[in-house]
Amino acid sequence: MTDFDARLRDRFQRLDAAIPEPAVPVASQTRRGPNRRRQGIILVAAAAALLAAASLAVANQPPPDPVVVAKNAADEERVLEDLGSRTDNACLSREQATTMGRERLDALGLSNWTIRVDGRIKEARCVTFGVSGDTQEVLLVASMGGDVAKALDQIAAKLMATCAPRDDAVSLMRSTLTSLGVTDPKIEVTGIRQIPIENGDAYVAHIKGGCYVYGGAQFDDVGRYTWFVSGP
Amino acid sequence: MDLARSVALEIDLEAELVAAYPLLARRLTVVLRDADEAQDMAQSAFARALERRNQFHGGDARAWLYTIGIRLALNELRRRKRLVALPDDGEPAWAIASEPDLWAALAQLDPQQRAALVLHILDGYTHAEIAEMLDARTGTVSSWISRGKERLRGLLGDD
Repeated sequence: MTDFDARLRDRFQRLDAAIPEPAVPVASQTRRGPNRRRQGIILVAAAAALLAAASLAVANQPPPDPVVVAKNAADEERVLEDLGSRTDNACLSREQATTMGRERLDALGLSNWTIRVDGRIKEARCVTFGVSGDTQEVLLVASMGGDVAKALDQIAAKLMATCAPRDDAVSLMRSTLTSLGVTDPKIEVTGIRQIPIENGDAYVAHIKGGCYVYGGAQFDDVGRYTWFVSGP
Repeated sequence: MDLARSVALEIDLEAELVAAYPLLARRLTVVLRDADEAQDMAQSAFARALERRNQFHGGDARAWLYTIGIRLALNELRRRKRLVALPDDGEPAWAIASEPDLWAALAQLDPQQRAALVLHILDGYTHAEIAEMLDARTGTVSSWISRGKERLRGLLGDD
């Protein structure tokens, strides 16, 4: 790098630093359809595409047969409904999920479908199903567990209905997670991470008003979750 | 079971896009020369990236978002050029307060040159990576960067 290059980089960095901070993007406004399960399918299909080595070659393949695509989509819906109806509030181990997945696929006449395990479930408390009709597979991925998910829905609503200070919000999250069997839950306090689909303006206003809310969750490379509390 | 809640794989990509979003907005501010317009464009790119998440096959999510956003911006500038040249609204205060000469000099470059320069100088992307993002040949990008730097050197009087 020449001296000029170094000076130019410094000047670019100063200019860049002066640019006004953009507002948080509206993360979920473009998700299609009201059916959350259907959204789940879409998301899982994307995740499967992300993970499947085979999918890397998709761009080089001819366009899929529309009849096959339609059948895969219909099968995907059937699998999702079937598994979803049997796993509500569940916290399945990898073995339980594998057994159940295989049994249900066979019962639905989809013995040719495969069950694949995401590599990031080594220390997951629970696993759940991702369904991808395109690749005809059920993917086992880390899950916080249906029981925890349901409890967090209630916490999210509660924190939106009141104006909880930081420590109270964290304490509520921790006690709830612990009571459900989550050992030493990792909770982080952040700014706004994502804006929910519904009542996004109220969510932002609530935080800007000094209140702390549920900010979502994310698992790491071994399936351990971090839960977020979002605040100002 | 609420699979949308339980399946967190997609959150990884979405979180990466959220993290990259302010960077894209900054880069587009230089390309478009308007922070508000850049933010609108970045939001469009972000929404489009989410819609097309199944086309993301892993790798650098930031580069992927950049690709969508900068192509949108360059297309918009081309479209606008075909219609009518917009009047200049004056220089933004934040630019005047930081690097007014650089900001003014960047106005003398083509949008593609600005895009290539910011991606190279601020993000450290290689010419080949930028070529892929901007759908151009590597040699063309090298030329944009080289000529852009020389132009800036002359305009900034920096030897």
